[in-house]
Amino acid sequence: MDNNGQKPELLVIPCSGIGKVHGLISREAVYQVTDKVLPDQADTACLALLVTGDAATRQKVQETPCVTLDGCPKLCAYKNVELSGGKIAKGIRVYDVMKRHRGANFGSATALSAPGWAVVEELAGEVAQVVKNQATV
Amino acid sequence: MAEAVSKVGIISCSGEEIPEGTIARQAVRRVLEGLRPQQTVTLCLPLFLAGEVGERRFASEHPTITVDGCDKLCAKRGTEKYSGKVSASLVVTDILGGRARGCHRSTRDADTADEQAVWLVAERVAAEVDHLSAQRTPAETKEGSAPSGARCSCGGPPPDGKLAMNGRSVTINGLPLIFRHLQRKGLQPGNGCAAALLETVRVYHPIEPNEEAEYRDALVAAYRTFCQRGSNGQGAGATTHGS
Amino acid sequence: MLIQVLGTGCKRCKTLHEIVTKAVQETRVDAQVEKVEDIQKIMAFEILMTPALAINGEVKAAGRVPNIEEIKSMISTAKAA
Repeated sequence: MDNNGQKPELLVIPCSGIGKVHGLISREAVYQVTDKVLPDQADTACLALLVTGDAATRQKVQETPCVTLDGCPKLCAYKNVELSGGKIAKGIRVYDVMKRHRGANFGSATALSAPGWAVVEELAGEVAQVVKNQATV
Repeated sequence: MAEAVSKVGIISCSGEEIPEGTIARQAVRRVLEGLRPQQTVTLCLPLFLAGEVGERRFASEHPTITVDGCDKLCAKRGTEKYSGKVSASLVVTDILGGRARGCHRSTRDADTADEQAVWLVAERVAAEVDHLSAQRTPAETKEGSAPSGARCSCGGPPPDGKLAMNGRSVTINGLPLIFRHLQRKGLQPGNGCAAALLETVRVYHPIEPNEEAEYRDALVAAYRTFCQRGSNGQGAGATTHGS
Repeated sequence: MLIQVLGTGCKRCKTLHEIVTKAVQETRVDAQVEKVEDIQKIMAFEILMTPALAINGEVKAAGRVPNIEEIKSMISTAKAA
């Protein structure tokens, strides 16, 4: 359920990437979407619940279009949603977005810097575009 | 070169839906890069499914602590399902009791309540690391016992607790935490930071008077590197499995 | 003199408290030794790791357990100040 208790139009799921700043950027981009940009339309789901095969979470990703955000080429979020039978509307590769800002100091896997937060906002915008595209279909 | 003793593995649930997942994640980060950087290693939980066979050997190669945000125990159950028995299972809601109320999912909103929660969980995890490390006997170590196969593609940099001084390497526990703390307080890298660096570090690491000049130069250089390293998103990172 | 041992109750915190108590006895300094286990009070000292040792409110060591000789030296320095 989204913040208003309604079924969301979109599930935004980040990877768990704990080793590098890319993982934190993925996670914070999701919160930017669910809490600020699309609070009435988007929600998230614990990737760990998909790993354990939680039935309710599997059903969620099967019934709701998903956008995954992955910090590295292992594509944990994308693959775990796919393995759970989820509908992936878009798989965003955060590392590709970050390449557009080569040389910037994004922070660390524990705390983002201002450029890191700027990438978060950019990613949130990309996710919002998915919802807009769905609405115009 | 084979490691004499395998490191203690820590796996966080990193649950996105509730603040306790963020607390679990941040606490594990704190242990890996500050409290016990030399003794610990981590792996992203979803890699058990998305990764390769080698990654599933994690719990068999390391005595493993799982840190879960809630009683759904995803990290514990996922690890035991795909990798092996865990040595210890910690749950944020058990450690904090009602303290997690008022904590936040996003680090942007983190306040004193979040810092206290992370601190408490991190200390608990560190104590468990010490407990497991103490249980490792020489008989449990074996030649060539370095973990094999599993590679995490993030492969973060080695823990940066080592200080290079005149051809020798000195380990200062928690050096990344100290540097981050000073950076947050606005300390700029350069010769002007020497006194502050020395005064802060000697609280955490004894420095003899006759070594002060050597430490001062090394700390100034290391702090400059630390402040610059954020440009490739690494900073002072924790060890991930296989790096 | 107030000597505070900061820590949430782990094994190293207890070890530090024991060594501090012994150091106070052997130096025969007039000091009160206090264990601080409350997280809010510990965080007020702005330390990054425990266990930690503070003398008269000033943190002298943190994230480690100094040996008894080092603690005695800290006590002597604080007494002379």
